[in-house]
Amino acid sequence: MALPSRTADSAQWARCPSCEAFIYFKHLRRNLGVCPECNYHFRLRVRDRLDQLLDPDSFEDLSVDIEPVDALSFVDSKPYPERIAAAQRKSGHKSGALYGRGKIGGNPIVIAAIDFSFIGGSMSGAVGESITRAAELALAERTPLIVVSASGGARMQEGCVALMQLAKTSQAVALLHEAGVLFISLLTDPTYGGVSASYATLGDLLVAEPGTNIGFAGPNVIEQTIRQKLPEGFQTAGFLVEHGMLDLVETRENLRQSIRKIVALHGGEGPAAAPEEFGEVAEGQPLVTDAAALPARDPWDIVQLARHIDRPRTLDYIEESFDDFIEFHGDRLFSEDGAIVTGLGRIGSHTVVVIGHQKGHSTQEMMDRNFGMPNPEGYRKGLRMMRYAARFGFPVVTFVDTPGAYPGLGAEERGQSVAIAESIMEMSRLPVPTVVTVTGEGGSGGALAIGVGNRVLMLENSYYSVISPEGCSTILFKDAAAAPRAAAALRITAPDLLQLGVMDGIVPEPAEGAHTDRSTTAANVRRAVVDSLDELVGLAPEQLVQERYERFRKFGTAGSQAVLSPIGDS
Amino acid sequence: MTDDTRREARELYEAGDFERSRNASLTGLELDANDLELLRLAGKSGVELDTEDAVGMLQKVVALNPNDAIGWHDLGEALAAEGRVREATDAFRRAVELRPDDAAALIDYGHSAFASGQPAEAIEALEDVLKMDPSDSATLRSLIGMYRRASQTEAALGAAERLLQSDPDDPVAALEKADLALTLGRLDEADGAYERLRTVDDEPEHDVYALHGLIQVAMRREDWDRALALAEEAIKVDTSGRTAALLGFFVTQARGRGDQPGRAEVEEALSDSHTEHLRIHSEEFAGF
Repeated sequence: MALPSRTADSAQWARCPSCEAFIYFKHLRRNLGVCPECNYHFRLRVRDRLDQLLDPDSFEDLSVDIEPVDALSFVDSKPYPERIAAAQRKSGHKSGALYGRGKIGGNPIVIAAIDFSFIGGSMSGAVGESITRAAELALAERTPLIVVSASGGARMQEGCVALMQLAKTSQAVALLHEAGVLFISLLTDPTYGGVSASYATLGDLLVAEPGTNIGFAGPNVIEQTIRQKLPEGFQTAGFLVEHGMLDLVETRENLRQSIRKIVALHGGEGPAAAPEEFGEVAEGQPLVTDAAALPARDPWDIVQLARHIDRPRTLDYIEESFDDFIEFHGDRLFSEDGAIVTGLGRIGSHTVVVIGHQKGHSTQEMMDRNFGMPNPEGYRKGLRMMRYAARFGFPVVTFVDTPGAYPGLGAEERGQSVAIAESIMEMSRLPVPTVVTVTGEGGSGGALAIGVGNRVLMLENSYYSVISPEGCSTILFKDAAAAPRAAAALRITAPDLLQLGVMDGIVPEPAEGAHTDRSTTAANVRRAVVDSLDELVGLAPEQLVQERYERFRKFGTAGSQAVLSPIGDS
Repeated sequence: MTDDTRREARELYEAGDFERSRNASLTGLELDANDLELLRLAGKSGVELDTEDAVGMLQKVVALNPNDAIGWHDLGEALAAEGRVREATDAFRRAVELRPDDAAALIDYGHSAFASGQPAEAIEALEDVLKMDPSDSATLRSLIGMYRRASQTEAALGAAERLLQSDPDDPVAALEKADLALTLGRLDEADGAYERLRTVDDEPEHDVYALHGLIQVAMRREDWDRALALAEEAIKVDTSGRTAALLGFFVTQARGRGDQPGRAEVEEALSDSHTEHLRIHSEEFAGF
């Protein structure tokens, strides 16, 4: 690292602004600027930040000709040019941001970084110029862009010229967005005002370190405006991720590795896992496409198996069947919803976006995940990731396991129906392969929201239904105890759904159910998904959309809709 | 051969090429595993390169020559770089015992002693440094913090005054002095230091912090007219709106009418303002 070497004086010892501990400078440097006593993340000089993120000696500074412009001839207690000169002396840079080419894990990237020590990282014409040029370079070279932000907001001394940087940078980022060039925005402490309200929160992925303060207005201003004490941790990275505004909060220690992994998943060099590891996974059994080949089982027994607390969940399949998975959070609107997990990972040779309902294996986990019943923000997170997949050409793999969308007051207030409807529509038009696997409960619209696939599969002992058997028995059979009868009548099991054409194939389970042998089940799921993807990836986007359209178009159309024999006839 | 190797390793180390200095040292050590200079250079380069054998090399130096003060100091630095603060303190102490007038060793000993829970030894060491160089600003800053943590407010104020004498334009010195004087009830001194702060801290939007300090002084004096006047002045430069929320209290105190937050709430808000200000400057001095 290029942290300045120190002379033999007290400056060899840094003092933590948070816990006031004295830390030997070289120890702090080895700890990447994180206090070993309290985990406080010291603010980094921009060069140190680049050294931590990039491969050694890979940064090529392209910002040397960028300097601030005193367009207003501004004077407060001193002329603006004097403030610029002082900031240049203090920071050792001509302007408040650097940009250039670099490498991370051998992968070329374009990077820009704001220097907070340069007039509080404020957004000036020169800062906006660095960010914009970086975006334009990334676009021209179709290379991922990483921007590291730390700013108090727009620079007052540049007036409306500073304000216009919000538009200048945002429109440059929009071009990347349209062209499907990855933009990772790393928000560091603090990121506020005109920076947070422009390019910095427009990244495909928003990443922050723990404890980073991020917001539009400062907490003091908010407190005085609303005349209320703000909650502990307000506007920290943890607060933001809970409220759906960040994809990832990562410690400084793991930051480089995570970004490297993301860049690699986007087509860069080298997966995090060695390719030969792909071959070590158990082969798995092929899909069953003949209903008669499936064992006969009472539908109500299947419902119980589908709801078994030990049944593998989405995160179990991800752990067992995927490589290099990295989870992304948030709907960027209201909240993180743990009932749906999303992220990017590899399965077989395919990099895919994963979206799945998530329950848990204990009461506490189930409560934390709202029993797998998403709120609108869960669906909107999924929707965001579907669009991400479309932008970058990644197939979408979904895992369905929900009793249904959450029936709550807040869910209705925030548009549960709209969220589900938009998700169904968006998924139906995705120009990428989509593979759906019902792994447990397929509870109605809450399941279908992530169920519009080119291939729709289900595990042998899962079910898929327009309503829960209990709900149906109460409404139609006028008897809550008639749920087993309703389960049979609704034709919710794998053999019936295969014959109805709702399913394209059935993933075999161990004889006593998926929960008895998680690895075998995961291997079967892996094979089913990989085989489906292998079939689909060669199709053109318009073929994928058309095939999916036709798949769902036929349901309920006389002549093309399969009809099941009455129960007992077979 | 060894002389050439020593010279090469030394020159490379001094040029900051730690990788090649270490390699040259290790090559030389293959011929003479106990060469003190090569061991020292290999160890010190290892500290810069974060190699695992750095501490071991420097331990060998002091094992071969237990009266080598520089060797003990180097070992202390290597241990401190690994976060082994108690062991580092022992090594620095040994260096200081061998060379009591080595300011660099005293500074490291003082800080590591404080970090390992020995405040009295730490303060004594840093005071010894200041006897040699009374204007060592960085040491004075550390000392203020140590006295504060040891609840020796009077001594902390003395250190802040010394810092202000050595660097009259240091905003942290003025800020520390003002706050410590206020804590001790020396209101004239606090008032003067906050006024000084207004002139030396020219960061945009920082004037409000000094005004908040002056308001605290006025409150202690129960000079409500001045407190109100200062609050009105602070409102003009306070982009956060924090002062506006306190205004009612001063209006009530000065004019006997108006809405008000409680005195405790006002004092807490002003104290938060001071903490925020000190933290901003502390981050600058932390070097990151």
